[in-house]
Amino acid sequence: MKKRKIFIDGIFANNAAFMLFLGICPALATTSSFMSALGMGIAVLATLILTNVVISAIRRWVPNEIRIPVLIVIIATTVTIIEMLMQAYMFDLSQTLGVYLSLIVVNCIILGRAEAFAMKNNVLDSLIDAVGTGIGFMLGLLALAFAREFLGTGGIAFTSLLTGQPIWGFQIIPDNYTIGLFQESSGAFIMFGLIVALINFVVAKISENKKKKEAAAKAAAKLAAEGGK
Amino acid sequence: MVANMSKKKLNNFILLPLFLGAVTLVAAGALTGVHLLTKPKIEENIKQKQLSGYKAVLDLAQSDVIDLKKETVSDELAGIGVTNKFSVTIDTTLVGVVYDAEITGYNSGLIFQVGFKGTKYAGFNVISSNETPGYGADYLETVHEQIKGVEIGDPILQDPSKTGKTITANALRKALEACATDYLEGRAG
Repeated sequence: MKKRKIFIDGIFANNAAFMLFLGICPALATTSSFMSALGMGIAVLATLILTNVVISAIRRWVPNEIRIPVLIVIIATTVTIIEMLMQAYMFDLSQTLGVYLSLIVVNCIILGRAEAFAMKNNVLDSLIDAVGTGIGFMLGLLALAFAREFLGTGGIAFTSLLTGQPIWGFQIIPDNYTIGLFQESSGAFIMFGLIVALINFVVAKISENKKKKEAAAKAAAKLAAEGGK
Repeated sequence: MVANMSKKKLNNFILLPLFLGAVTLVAAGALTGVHLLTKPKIEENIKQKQLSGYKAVLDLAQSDVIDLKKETVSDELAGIGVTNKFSVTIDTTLVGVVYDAEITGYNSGLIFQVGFKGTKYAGFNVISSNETPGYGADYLETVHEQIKGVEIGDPILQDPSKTGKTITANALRKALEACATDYLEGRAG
């Protein structure tokens, strides 16, 4: 498989959150603010990169019978290391993400990519797959968080990931016109559904246009062939 | 064939667990290394957060330099989850008393600080909680404003049934009132 395709598929065609519906729990729980979604996205990206690379590097020596326990040990270790590093150097963010940081261990994306890709491909391809999938998931979280925070609070507040101190922010919608529901759990489901509907609409339109173009090209080729006769 | 089966059995019963054990040992080594590296920084972060919390519950500026004097926590208070009690001073002047506690609200693991000044509740700060976002967690954010400046002995956190956070509010009220009683007794003593 071409490396570019592996990367692009991870972001769009196989987007973990919106196309494969994997890792939905943290996607809904940590997207009430843009910055917590960014933090979760970075944590998942780092976990994916480390686990995919390590698993791909040792895949030839892992006996098939115990591959799942080995994968789980590697994933749990990686997540715990990332959690400790975040508690040390991104303390406020780690407090905000709370239990969802530990729950990356059971995120289907990580085990899914390890089992489906890293166990079957070389280190470089596995790294590219991890980066593509991780960025795709992060973009999904950021889109969901942007929509929820913007509609729920009227603007976006940017804070430092390291110190938690406010950096910059904007407020466009006046307080009286914000929709608080989008900051709640139920609002997360609604917004997730709306984004999935939008993506499906766009994908269907693209597919429809592609079919129309193919049909037009076939008709033109047929006409040309008949004209030739 | 028999030799092959024995080899396979040996593989399943000894080599596979050994391999898994080796992977686990390497993982444990990596975790130990990172733990040793990050432990001092994490402890410092937690200490800073606690210190910052004490200043917040006593309505002090974050730039104030405070001294903490550890007080004895009675068995009764320890029984309801109080873990620490400190007298807070600035330049030897007592500015208030703070308590750390861990209780079970709707979920377990609600860790908070409460402070007292004079004869009043000075403030409340959540260190960590597993309360449900949007419900108990949102309620906790209102507690500081609800109790700040309230005279000890006056009713606090009343009628939580209207807000649907009864279990958390009741557990919290019980713990806060116990701390308040202990504070008044200490003050009188």
